[in-house]
Amino acid sequence: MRTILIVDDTKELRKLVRMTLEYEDLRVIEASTGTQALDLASKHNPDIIIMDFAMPGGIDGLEATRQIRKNPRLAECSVIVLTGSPKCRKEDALGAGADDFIEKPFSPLTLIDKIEQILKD
Amino acid sequence: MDDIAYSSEELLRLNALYMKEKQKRIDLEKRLKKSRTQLKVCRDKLSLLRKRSAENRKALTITNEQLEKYASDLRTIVESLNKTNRDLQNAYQDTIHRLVLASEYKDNETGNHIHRMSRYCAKVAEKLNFSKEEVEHIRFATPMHDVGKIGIPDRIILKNGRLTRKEFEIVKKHTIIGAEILQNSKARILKLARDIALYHHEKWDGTGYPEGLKGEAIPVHARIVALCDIFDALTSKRPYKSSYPVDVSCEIIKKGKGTHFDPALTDIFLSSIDELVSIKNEIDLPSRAIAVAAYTWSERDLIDAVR
Repeated sequence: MRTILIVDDTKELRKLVRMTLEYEDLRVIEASTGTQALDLASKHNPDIIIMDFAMPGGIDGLEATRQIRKNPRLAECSVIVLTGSPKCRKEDALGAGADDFIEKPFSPLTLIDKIEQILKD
Repeated sequence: MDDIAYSSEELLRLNALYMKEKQKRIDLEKRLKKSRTQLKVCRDKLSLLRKRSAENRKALTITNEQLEKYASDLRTIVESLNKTNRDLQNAYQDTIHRLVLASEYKDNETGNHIHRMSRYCAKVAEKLNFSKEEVEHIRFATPMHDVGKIGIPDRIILKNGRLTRKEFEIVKKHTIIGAEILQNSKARILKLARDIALYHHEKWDGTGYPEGLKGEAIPVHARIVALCDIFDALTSKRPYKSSYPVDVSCEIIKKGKGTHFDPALTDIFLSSIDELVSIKNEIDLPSRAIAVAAYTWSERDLIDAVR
């Protein structure tokens, strides 16, 4: 079963994404900070990481993305930055090594489309 | 100095008083300090709660906006499902219509007979307080009542003049052949159509065919079709007869009440006669173009136009 890691500090949002993806028969794991995301990513080697930008703790979503990109064991893992922060635009996300960018609030259909696209490739 | 001199008892008493007041003050100061600490704890708690409440509000706003997106996507999905459903229903009805066209291809009955019949039956079902869905089902099941004629030899179906007994026995088989064509479907409309095809020549008193069923043993849909089929045959021109006026046709139907037709159904049918006649007039309009324009367009209309 394909695994998706959702990284977001808002519990409700994580729950929504989990619900949406589990309906598509995907396994979902959750992290609420950048540090936890890095930890879980190296432990579970997910197929896709859905990454928020602004989160409490030292590591924001872009920094976490950069570190994931530096890890050769996570080379197969795609990162989608999912944020509503005006401080993180699409260029910033792609510049940090993300594969795609979705703005919050997001359309669940778009999210599923993008995930299916990535998993197909 | 004497006048301010205190006796030793007085001094002891004063000292005791002083000590007591001093202790009181120390106690008060302690209490004050404690209260101040408590106040600070409360202030800290309050500011923490404020912070949490602001965070909750923010999370709530984010979640709310997100839920609205979900709702809007759901609306899109429902719309597209509805459209697919409509397309599917159109294709289904189109297919049914083609089956009917195939069965009457060589027959001299016109498409209008089928059209009128299905509207009459729907009207009667409506009068019987059938659900809207069930009325629709009857409307689409009824046109298939004679599909079994596809299995009757041309020399009999197309024969001019009276049929022999043997030929009539063969014609009767169209009910069974129709039921065989339509049987074993899971679709409600086709289940109805099967019953209608098999039993629309049964009579209330049990003298009909193919099974000689009596009264309420005949499915109600077939009883409705039996009535409407005869009414349409009476009021239409056939190779062997001219069309009878509505009042004459009604008299003939009234005579069949309780023998040929379900008596309660006959009463409902006759009491709705005005509405049935207006359906007839609407469909038999001389200008086909006007009649077509009165319906919402579907592929079925195209088939009628080509015909």
